[in-house]
Amino acid sequence: MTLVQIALRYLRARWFPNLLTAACVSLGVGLLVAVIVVARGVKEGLLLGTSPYEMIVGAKGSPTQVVLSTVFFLDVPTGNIPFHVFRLLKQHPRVTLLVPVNLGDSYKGFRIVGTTPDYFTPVFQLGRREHRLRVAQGHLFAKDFEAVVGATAAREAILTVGDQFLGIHGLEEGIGEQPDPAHRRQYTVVGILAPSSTAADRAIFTTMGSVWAVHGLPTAPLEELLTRGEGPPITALFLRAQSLMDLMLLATQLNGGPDAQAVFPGRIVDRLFTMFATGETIVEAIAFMVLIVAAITVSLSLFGATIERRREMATLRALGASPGTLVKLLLWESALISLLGTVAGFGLGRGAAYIASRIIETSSGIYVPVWQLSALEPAFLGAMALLGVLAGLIPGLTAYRMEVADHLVPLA
Amino acid sequence: MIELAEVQKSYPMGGGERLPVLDIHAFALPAGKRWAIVGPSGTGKTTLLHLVAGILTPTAGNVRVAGTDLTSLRPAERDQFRARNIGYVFQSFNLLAAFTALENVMLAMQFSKVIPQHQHRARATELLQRVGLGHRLVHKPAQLSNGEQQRVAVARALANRPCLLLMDEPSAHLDTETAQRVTELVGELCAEGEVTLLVATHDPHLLESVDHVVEMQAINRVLARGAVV
Ligand SMILES: Nc1ncnc2c1ncn2[C@@H]1O[C@H](COP(=O)(O)OP(=O)(O)OP(=O)(O)O)[C@@H](O)[C@H]1O
Ligand SMILES: [Mg+2]
Repeated sequence: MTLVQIALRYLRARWFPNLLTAACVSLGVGLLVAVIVVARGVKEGLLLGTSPYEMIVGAKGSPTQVVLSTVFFLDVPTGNIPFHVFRLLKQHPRVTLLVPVNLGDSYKGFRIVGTTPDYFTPVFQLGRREHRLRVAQGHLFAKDFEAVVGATAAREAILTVGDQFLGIHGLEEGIGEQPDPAHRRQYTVVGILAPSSTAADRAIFTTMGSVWAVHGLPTAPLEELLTRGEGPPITALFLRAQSLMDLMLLATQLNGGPDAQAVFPGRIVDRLFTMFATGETIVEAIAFMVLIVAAITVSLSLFGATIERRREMATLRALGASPGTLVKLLLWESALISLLGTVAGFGLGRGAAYIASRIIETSSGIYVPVWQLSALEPAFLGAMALLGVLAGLIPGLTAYRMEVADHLVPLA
Repeated sequence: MIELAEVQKSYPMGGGERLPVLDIHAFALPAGKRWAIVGPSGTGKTTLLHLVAGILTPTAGNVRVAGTDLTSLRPAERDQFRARNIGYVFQSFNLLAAFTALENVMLAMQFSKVIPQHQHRARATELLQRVGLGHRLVHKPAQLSNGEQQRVAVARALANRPCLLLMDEPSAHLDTETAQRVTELVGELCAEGEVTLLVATHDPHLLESVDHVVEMQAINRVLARGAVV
């Protein structure tokens, strides 16, 4: 029999308290893993969602609000920007991608987004992972009041190609002013998007003109408006440019004017995360404390076991096991309990993170990846193993210093 | 085999005072015989066996077993010496409750490393068969009767082919008849393996199965002074 087998035998003999102890460890580990995984997932989701766009041009106001409302369709937009800003950027030789979005109405809680087919071309990227927007059924909108529906929106609002629906103003039914009844028109679903794990899953897309028309604004085909040089306002523009220099110049130009602001989404995500980081640190500190408490529980439980097992340990010594062997035995026991707790905790944490990610995804549309292993986790596993071994040291020490002869007799 | 010279052993009593239990001027047992040490309860028989086994160290004096001065060894060395050379059947057996009869015997071989690992199982099985427990190998101590537990303890004590077997009060937890049978069996096993046997007992019925008897009162000067009992 190896020492590990002996340790396992002793663990099995006291399986219930040991299981409880491992459960304590798994709670601590699970809490910490869940916090780390969800925080990282949300950040990656935000980075993924904004990855195709180097700059967002929106109305003046909170830059965070601009990003959350136009890219993720959370929150309400800060306002609109005049058409001439769109025209300026459209004709700018250094702008390589320009996606206009018009927000206004919704259907069953899903945003109706006026845009151009350009919305569907860029690739969403995170590390090596790529997400593309693809029409799974039907085709992209070609005319006003044709709609392409995101996968989740189609499923939850029960829309299929050929269906017709009426949008309502704002995001929630009954709130805000109704669109001018004179201009109400039915949308016709012409396409359904494949699931993309981006905000597009939870939105409905149509032409710019449809959104303008619903709001009673005079419209014409986009090309005509561009050549004419004037048109209705636009909610926001997503763009990429040839170089960082171009972006900086454009940003300076736009931010200096009265009509719009340029926002760098990557920076906003970073800023959001430095804001969240404090809260995250507090939760992490609590989780670490739970871990320490768990380690103390392991220590205490084994300490109890060594007292209970004094006579057995004295016997092992009498059979020739050295004091060091007894210490190793107890270290194995504590390491095995900690290992069990840590593995279970990883499962628990991942499970909790998965549930949290589903909740965040359905409530916010931010895709939260939780399956990737983070660099933190192996380090963390090592730390827990170390804590587990440390937890065995105190009981080990009592075993080391035990007087053999005193404990060879039955307990009184 | 065993030599004690000017050995004293006392236990702390609290308040700085000590209880003298043993004071032995000289005590020697040659190898290859079966010995019994007799004396009433509390006269220091267990203390003496513990000293010989190196589980206790004397307050003063030297204990030699098979030519080795136990008092000069470091604790871990004493543990190894005991594991390799001395078998000990404790007064209360001290089987390991979490392990089967077979594993109890195998564990003794595990720590001493006298017997090659691959022979452990076969040797343990054989020994348990010798003590009549071949059919109870997988039972844990709690599932065995006192007499059976004692025989497991005997098998365990013989596992490493010791040169000295100590047996403390075989009749403590058994009826005299069973204790007698076990002692006889142990006597046979010791004679076969040329093992020196030292049995501590206060039961005169057990004395028939040994070669020589030593009276505790005759060697322990503490008793002569009337300090104990
Ligand atoms: N750890 C100890 N601390 C204090 N006194 C002890 C200790 N161990 C034994 N004694 C005392 O030493 C004396 C001898 O004890 P020991 O166990 O050696 O006697 P024994 O001859 O084996 O008795 P028995 O036949 O009842 O087993 C007893 O008076 C006992 O109370
Ligand atoms: Mg005794």
